Amino acid sequence: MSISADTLRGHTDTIILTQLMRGDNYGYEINKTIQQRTGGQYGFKEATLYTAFKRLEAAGLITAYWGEDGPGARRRYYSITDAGRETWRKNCQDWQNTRALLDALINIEEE
Amino acid sequence: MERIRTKFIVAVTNRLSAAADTNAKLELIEELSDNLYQRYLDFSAQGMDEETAYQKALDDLGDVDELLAYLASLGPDGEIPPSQSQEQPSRSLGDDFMRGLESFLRETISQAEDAVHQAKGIVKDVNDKIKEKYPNGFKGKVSIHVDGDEVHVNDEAAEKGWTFTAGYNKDRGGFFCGDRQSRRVEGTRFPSEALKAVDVGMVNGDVTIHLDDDPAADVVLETESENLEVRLSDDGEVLTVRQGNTASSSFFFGRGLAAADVELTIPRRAWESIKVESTNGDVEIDRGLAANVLRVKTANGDLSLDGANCGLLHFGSASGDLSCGDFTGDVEAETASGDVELAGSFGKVSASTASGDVRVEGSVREASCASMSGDIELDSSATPEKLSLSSKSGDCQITIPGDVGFTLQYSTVSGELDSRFQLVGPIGSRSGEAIYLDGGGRTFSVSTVSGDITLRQN
Repeated sequence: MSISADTLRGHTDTIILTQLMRGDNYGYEINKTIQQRTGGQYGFKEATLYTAFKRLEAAGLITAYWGEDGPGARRRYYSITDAGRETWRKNCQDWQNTRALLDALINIEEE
Repeated sequence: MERIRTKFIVAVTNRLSAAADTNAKLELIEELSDNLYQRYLDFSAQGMDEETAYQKALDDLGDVDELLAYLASLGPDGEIPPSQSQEQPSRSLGDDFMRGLESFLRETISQAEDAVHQAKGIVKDVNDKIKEKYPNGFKGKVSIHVDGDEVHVNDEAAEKGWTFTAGYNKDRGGFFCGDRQSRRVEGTRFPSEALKAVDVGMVNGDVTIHLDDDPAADVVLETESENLEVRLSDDGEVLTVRQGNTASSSFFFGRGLAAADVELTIPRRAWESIKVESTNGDVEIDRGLAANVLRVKTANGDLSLDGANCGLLHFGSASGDLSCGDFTGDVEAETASGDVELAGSFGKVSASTASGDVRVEGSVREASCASMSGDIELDSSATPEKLSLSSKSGDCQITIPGDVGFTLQYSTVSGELDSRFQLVGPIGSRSGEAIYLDGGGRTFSVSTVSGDITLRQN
């Protein structure tokens, strides 16, 4: 976990954008899905998650709105924008390239 | 369950207290506390007990520094800054400072109008200093935090050693603004002759302060860690100890990957200021410390203090407890879930906690205590001149000799008022004002929502 956490931290924005590609969602649910998808191995601290939301919002990659959630309760939902989708695609491509490079650099089977 | 939700709101509010009160901040508090509450429900559903589940959920909040920086970067109406240009636009430190100062003003000294005039003068001073320091504009990250009655502005872009402090302090003639130059010192033993103040700032690790009976003894620092930075102010009056002397070691301390306990021995004499900050460690101080100002701040750590004589003890913590025995002086304590237990002879006591209890015994001249769900008990051998106690669901109990009169202003929604003293005035209703003996100019104001109010004789 110690090695991967640092690597994952660099991809916080992409991870969040990925969740929003599935549809609008709110902070707690997003984090929970991330935890479930990693078998409980990884999840964001609230502060990290919200700093990322604010960063993405400022960059115009996501938007936020208050949604009703039962009587008297409201909840802030996040939604990906077209620019966000574009960034997500680009980030995924970047990662594929990086991964291919890394695989080539750290693989010693063939030598 | 609403109680737990409230606890999260209070905890989050506390952690974000350094940011000015804007709509953006309130919305962030709403969002964060709601999410933490849902985490708590998850943990509870897994069979965890309430306190464990609460703590574990709160731990998941993580490091709020970046959020504070975000809030500080917002415009006055909470608008998101047009960032994302790769280069950070140069911002005015003066504006940030002004915002920090404003919130600090609101929180701590709402009463003094002339103080605000003085504050404006200070902001101007600060602006001048900044212009002097950054003739080409300021590019860097600024963090502001309010520490009791002082506002600290840390300028991370500047070389270490340049900090300035401004704030409001009666002993320093009201508002003040000053900067201080300091230099690194090596070793573990420092002559104490000119020293007036010691300032220890830690992330992980306990801090113990020992007192050497020789008033001219050296200050001695003991620690296992080599990664401490010790600085001495150029005037030789302030010794500063910080954890993390390099970028990488600061990183490890900050992430909780390294910890070091520090033991500091200082001569037993009257200190101007002793300041200890440890995020995760406890703070212990030998019996009989004398200081004009003792300031201790922790996130989770406790402070226990015995036989201290302080002009003012200021304790601030999220979940730490404060326990003082045989204390002389004034106390200001703020903690979210910790308990405050004070015994001794007090001038002014101001204690606030969200879910902890407050207990004060000995002799108290003036006290102002507030809790959300904790009990407040005050037992004074002399009748206080002024009391202001409030709790939402906790009980308030006052124990006094009853040899002189007082006026009781009380209010409760569903609690009961029970007094051993013959009160004159309406006491059967939800709120009112009643007098004991002649009233004597002493006012006790006590309010609860569901807690009981009890007055006893000692």
